[in-house]
Amino acid sequence: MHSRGSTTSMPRWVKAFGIAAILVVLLFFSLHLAGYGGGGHTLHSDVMEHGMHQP
Amino acid sequence: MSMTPRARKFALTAHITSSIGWFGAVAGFLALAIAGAASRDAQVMRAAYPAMGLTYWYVIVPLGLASLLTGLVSSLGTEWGLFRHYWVLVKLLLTIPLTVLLLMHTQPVSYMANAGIERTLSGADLGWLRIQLVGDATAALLVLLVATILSVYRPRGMTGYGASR
Repeated sequence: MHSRGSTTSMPRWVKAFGIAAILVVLLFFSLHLAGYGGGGHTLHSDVMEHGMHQP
Repeated sequence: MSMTPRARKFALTAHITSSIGWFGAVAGFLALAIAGAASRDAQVMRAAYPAMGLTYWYVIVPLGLASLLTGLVSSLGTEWGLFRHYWVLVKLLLTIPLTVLLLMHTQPVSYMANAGIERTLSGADLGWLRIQLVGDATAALLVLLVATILSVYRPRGMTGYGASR
């Protein structure tokens, strides 16, 4: 099992993955700050006023 | 901490089953979300969103938590470890935020399900919320796909911690 990863330097795929992840997170927060994404993690007041209960 | 071969296989079976089940359930959820967002037929919406609510609460959330838990057990109980290999670490860093976001998005799903049950949905009601559910499910599916690819290909690379042990 351990023979697969013999180098201690960070592989290129991890760096590329990290950069892609940072870009996705920035895009996500940009969209939320810009007001897109509907209710986000909570709901708009017009939604909340109708009340809500779990199934 | 190392498990016996029998326990290891049991944990791995549970992890694969819950992870692939999670993927399939999210795919089904996405299909319903697209149907609900694209349709102008009130009957389709009133059928889709309650079904999404049930799928979310009784399939997606339990399988997501089970996948995270069995993944932790499988990695900690074998020589792969949790922090030794980059592919395991990246999977963990994908799964934890996904599970947190899953639990944070219960309100929109519940609201839409209740609106469908109470027959208050019609036409273009809550347009952004309906589109958001499609976007969230698509993003979740992509993350789960990446996690599955990492599990199958296991790209090389050991962390400093893993190399020092």
